This record gives sequence, structure tokens and C-alpha cells, in this order.
Amino acid sequence: MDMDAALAISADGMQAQTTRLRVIAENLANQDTTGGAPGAAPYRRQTVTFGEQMDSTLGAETVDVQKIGSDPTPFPQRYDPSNPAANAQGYVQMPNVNSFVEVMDMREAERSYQANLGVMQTTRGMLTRTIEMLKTS
Amino acid sequence: MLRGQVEAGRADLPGNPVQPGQIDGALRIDQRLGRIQHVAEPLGQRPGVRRAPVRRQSLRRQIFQRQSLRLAKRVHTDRQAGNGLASLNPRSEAALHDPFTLRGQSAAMEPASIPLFALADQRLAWLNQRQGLLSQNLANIDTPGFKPRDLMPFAQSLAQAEFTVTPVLTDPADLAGTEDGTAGSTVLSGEQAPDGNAVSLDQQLMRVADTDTQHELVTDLYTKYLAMFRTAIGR
Repeated sequence: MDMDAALAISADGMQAQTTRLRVIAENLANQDTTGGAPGAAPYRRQTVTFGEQMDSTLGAETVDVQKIGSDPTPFPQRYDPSNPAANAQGYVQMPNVNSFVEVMDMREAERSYQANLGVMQTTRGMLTRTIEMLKTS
Repeated sequence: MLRGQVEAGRADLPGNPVQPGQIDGALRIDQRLGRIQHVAEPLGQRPGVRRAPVRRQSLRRQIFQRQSLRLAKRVHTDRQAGNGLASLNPRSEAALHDPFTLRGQSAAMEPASIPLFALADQRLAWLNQRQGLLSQNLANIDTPGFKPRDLMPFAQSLAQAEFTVTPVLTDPADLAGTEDGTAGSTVLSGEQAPDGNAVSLDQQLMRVADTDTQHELVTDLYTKYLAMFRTAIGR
């Protein structure tokens, strides 16, 4: 394992966090998307699961988005008879997206991204210093 | 420098008749070779220096003769070994006559054979490997069940004198190797999230910063030590 591997692993980590941010953006954008027909299911919140992955060319374990799953928590119901998705009793199923949870998740993704970026910068600094050793003073 | 050369050199100086066996000299810094050398000087040229007594001169002569014999033996051995005249290059020849060169140091001047450079080499390898491991930890900061790892301290791994990373089983179907896969690195213990992930962001970033500082120290020391050599050879 060397510096190139460290850079590649950090890049993979950033890639994974970017996918996570994309899913968060989808969740937040669809936090009011109800179904089109009466009794139809609304938007279901998506979740991201990370998994470690052995990269045989690098000889190191990198990170990858293993699965984009769906949140099984039940949909909250809201009384809104005028909505086209309302059932016979006048209740509409709303998406199970909690904007507070999403925002917190976004912050966490940002921190993780920053951490990976920090490692990348440090590694790059180490590489530069090693190359500078070759230069005659 | 051979004895004959010393005497031949003196023969050219006017007013200094050759007196075989009388060898005087001074220590001078040879800028081309980068070290102190014994350089023959004509007798009586330096006013402040008294002529050495005869007994001492004969002792020096004996030493020179012995060294010449050693050189001749070495050339003979080289010829037998098929190395041609490897011993006759100016460096090794000068090394035989140079009392200020440590034995074994003159023959191999590659940076890796100098202890401090070799140590810096190992330290840099260790730091590179550690950086890779730490980046792996931080990339897996949200992976369920991931346990962060770190290399064993440098002093400890230096004692083992080997930093090879051995393959680790990632799947139950993998065949077990003959070596312990966790020999080079240790699993860090610490607080664990509900999903089994034990990576602590601040702890890992602290280790990254530590690696960075150590790397800077090693590269700086290496450069300074190299500059010292440059000063010595006058460049």
C-alpha cells in the first residue's frame, strides 16, 4: 500500500459520500410527493448502506455504496379530503421523510466528505514533500 | 597515492632533491572526493613545521610499504576473481592510504547504506503505509461493522524489521494463508456505534495530522543531512 492507494481510497470515500448526498437530495425534494390515485402509496424514503469492498488492484479495502434501500417505517396520514390521493375516509398517506433527519444526515455526509478531503490533502502534501527531497538545495 | 608517486612528485620541485624513504605530508580536504586526504608536501616548505625525526620517518615508511603490499595483494585477488583492476580506481586506492576513512564506509557511499538514511527510508515507508491505512479507516466511516486499524508503533515494527502487509481473508470461501494476516496492523478499540462501526472521526484525523507532522520531520531531517554532505564536499 502506498500513497496512490491512500489517494484512491480517499477518492472512493468521497464518491460514496456524494452518492449519499444525492439520495438525501432526492428525499428532501420528494418530502411532499403523494400518490396520484386514491389510496396510492406516496414517495418512500430511500436509505444508503455503505460496505467495505476489497479492491484487488489496490490491495486495500475501499468503501462503496452497497445498497440503496427503502425506509420501511409506516407512512404518516393527514386528513385532506380535497387531495386526489385521499382515501374514502379523507386521509392522505404522506411520505415518511423527516426533513430534520435528512438535514442532520446531510451534515454528517458533509463532515465525512471533509474528512476524506483532509486525508487527500495531507497525502498530497506528503507526496509533494517527498518529491521536493529530490530537488537540490 | 602510491609511495612512488609521492616521491616522483617531490622530484619535480626545485631545490628539493629526492631522498628516498623520506615522506612528509599534510592532511588536506580533497574537494573532489569529499574527504580528508593525506597529501605529500615537500620537506621544509612550511616554515613553522619542524622536520620530523628520522626514526618517525622510517616508521611512516614502513607503514606505507605495508599499505602498498596490501594494495598489491588486493589487486592480485581481484585479478583472480576476474574483477580486473577494480582496486586500482582512485577512490579505493586513496582509501587504503587514508587513515581518516572508517573501514567499510568508503567502499559503499550509497545513501541507503548510511544508517540515518536507511532509518529515514524505513520511517517513510512506515508513514506511507500508515497513511494508506488511515485513509481506509476514514473512507469507511459510515460502513456498518467496520473496525478501524492502525500500524503498530514504529519502534516496535523496527524491531521486527519487516513491514510486509499480509493478505487478509475477506470471504469465508477464501483459503487461509500461512501467515498471520493481522501481524502488521492492530485493530483499534473504542466506542462503537449501534451499527457496529467503531471509527472515531476526531481520533482518526488526529492520527492523520500526526503522520503528516512526522513525515515533515523525516523529510526535513533527510534534506538537512544531505545538505551536510554537500557542505562537506564543498558544493
